[in-house]
Amino acid sequence: MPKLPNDTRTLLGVQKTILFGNPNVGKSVIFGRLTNQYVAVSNYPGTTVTITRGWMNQASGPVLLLDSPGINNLLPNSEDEVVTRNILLSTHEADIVQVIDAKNLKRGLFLTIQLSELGRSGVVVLNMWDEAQLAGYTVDTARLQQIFGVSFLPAVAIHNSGLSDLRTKREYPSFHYEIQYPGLIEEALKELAPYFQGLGKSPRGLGLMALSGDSTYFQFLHGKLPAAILEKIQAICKKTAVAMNTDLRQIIDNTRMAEAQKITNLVLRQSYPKKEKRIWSSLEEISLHPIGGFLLLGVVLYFLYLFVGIFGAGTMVGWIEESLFENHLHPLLIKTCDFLLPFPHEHEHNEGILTKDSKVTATLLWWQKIFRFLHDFLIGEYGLFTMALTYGLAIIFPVVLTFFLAFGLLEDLGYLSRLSVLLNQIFRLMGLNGKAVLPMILGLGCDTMATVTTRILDTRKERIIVTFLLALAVPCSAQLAVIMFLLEAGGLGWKGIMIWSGIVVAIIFIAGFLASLIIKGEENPLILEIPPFRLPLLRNIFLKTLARVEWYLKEVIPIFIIGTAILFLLKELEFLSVIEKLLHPLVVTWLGLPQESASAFLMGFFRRDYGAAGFIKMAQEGIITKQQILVGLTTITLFVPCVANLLVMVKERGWKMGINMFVIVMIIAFLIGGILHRVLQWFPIAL
Amino acid sequence: MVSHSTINQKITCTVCGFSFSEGAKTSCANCPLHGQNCGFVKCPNCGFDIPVSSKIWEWMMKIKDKLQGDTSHGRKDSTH
Ligand SMILES: Nc1nc2c(ncn2[C@@H]2O[C@H](COP(=O)(O)OP(=O)(O)OP(=O)(O)O)[C@@H](O)[C@H]2O)c(=O)[nH]1
Ligand SMILES: [Mg+2]
Ligand SMILES: [Zn+2]
Repeated sequence: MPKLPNDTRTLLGVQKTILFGNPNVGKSVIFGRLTNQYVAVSNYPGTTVTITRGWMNQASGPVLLLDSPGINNLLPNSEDEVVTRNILLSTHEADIVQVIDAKNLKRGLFLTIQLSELGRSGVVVLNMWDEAQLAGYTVDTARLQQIFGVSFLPAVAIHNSGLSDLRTKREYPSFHYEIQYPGLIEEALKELAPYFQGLGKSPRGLGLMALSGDSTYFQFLHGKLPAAILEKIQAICKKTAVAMNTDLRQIIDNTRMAEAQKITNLVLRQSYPKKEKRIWSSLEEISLHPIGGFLLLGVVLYFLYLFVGIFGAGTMVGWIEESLFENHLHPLLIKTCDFLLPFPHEHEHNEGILTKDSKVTATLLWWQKIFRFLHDFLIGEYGLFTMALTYGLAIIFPVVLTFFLAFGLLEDLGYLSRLSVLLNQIFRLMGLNGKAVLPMILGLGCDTMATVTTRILDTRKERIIVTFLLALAVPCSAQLAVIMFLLEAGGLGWKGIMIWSGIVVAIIFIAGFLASLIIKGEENPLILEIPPFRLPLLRNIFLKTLARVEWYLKEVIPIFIIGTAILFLLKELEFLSVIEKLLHPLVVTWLGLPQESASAFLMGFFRRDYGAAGFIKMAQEGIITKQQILVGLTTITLFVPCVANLLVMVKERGWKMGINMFVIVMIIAFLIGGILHRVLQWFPIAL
Repeated sequence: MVSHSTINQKITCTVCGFSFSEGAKTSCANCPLHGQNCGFVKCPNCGFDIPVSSKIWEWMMKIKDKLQGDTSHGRKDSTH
């Protein structure tokens, strides 16, 4: 495939096709389908603002495909429209693929008429055929073909259907449809025609552009026609405008629109709208309703729990951790290490399968001591493979993967925007600035990145409060994943999730409320444009998930590895037991947890999900009760999220403030944990 | 993202609908994560981290391109 030179001029002579049409009709999706390139596709009008180019392989050879910004009129009302109009005029030999939203036929035909007047050649794609059908529309494409002389192809771009003709067709016929304008305009067009000879395929279309009096068009013509001729053209336009005593542009627009309406009436039928469509649009209403919105949120969370909690944390972890890692990978790695690093020791077996737990069976020589050290570093209790990578890849990864998939789906569906609006309403009741809410919701992605976001806030106080809340109570995706897993695997089920999330949400609200007493939030509302609900593009969700998986692999796994190495060293230096003793009053007396939890808390200093993973270990060993899991988990959830977050706090807020926040967050975490422990003792909830 | 075919692509935030050009990675300086190497772009209006590129994806596309490049060569040879 030829490389694209940066300069369009060198592309003269190459066969070109332009994707053209109204905003948000699916041009970029079609572009991606035809060129196999990823272009920013989004559910907002006006996504493509500059031209994207790509190659499409056709039987006759490669064709250069241009994706143009969506426009509603070739007589431009905005800069975008000027851009597209100019592209169209300067490539008059190029074929046009006009994309029409089949549900909005009239709007599209308004442009088709203009293409006809310019004498262009090409084809029309009636896209979003799926939605049109849902809405009960039928379009007489044969009739349209008769009227305009070009093919009208029904298509569903997101499903790659109906586009095959675009890949094979080479010779496109011209659009031919002529409408009659009022007599004076027709006369002027005849008069103008000779001046536009040679400038395009149809002097008529160009004459109409001139008559509309659009100044950007005259700018465009500047350099292309001699000044004397331009003056003559302008004189004719002026004469006609005076003679008709109105704005010519309006007359031209109205005539075209009336014609588009006429054709639409001819070819479009709407039967009774189908039920599915009604469900879709009533969902849109419900999602923003103060009560219905929360009910819908409950439903969404329930499905999220089924997918992430049951399928991800249950089924997938089962496959990967138990079947793959424990039963096959671990024994294999252990055998390999024992072969490469021989020293007298025995591994315990669990139902016939080799485990990482081992005992030294004789006194070791100095080199055997080194082997044992390496052996334990790789596959011991705190081993690189047996702990860090097993937690990271076998337990947490499947859960975050399902979470990312679900998150991407909700994002592209248009649900995240609605959720922000919904939550905004409550936080506003608390008196917190609308802008301050969003970083907290977005902290669900990554707290560290969200902390950087606090810069969009207006006052220092707001920035401090949001940074603090992020550090205290907003779990990031990976943390949410482990917590879900632990609540599920520890047998706490949905009751545990309710208690845990109840506490976290309550803390956010109490802290937010206290904060709003201190700061008087000036109203500085966030401007959100809410998209309609729409079935997302699988390809987009896939790309987003991959990007987030990369974040996970780059940010989370290395911290697991470093954390495990430090724990391993602490254990080797017999420092771990010292720390366990030091933390005894806090962990055992105050929180009522087993002594071993101290190392989980140590892990929690690196990343709170890693700390939570420490509880997984204890749960698997069966040395911890459900109540204890809940206490430990809640405490760790309230920890500072991770070392990267601590770093960004220090960077954004300064050393003193950063450290202060860290200390306060830790104090609150242990305080709440201790209180929960006591409450659970007094009111033992049947978990 | 296919950089060789995309000139200054505009990005629309999936949360707030704000439209901006990708070039301005203004918040990256203070981020302790991977700075310029990260696959996200922060929306200047609402702060959402929009995933825009992925090494794994680019890598997969490169392989796809290569495979397709090969098949198109094959086709050309046979027609000549
Ligand atoms: N239901 C349905 N949705 C579609 C179809 N084609 C595209 N879409 C969706 O329509 C939205 C807009 O698609 P884009 O390709 O960005 O539209 P565009 O015409 O390039 O828009 P601008 O560049 O803003 O002019 C996206 O959310 C697509 O997923 C289709 O055939 N059916
Ligand atoms: Mg587009
Ligand atoms: Zn945004």
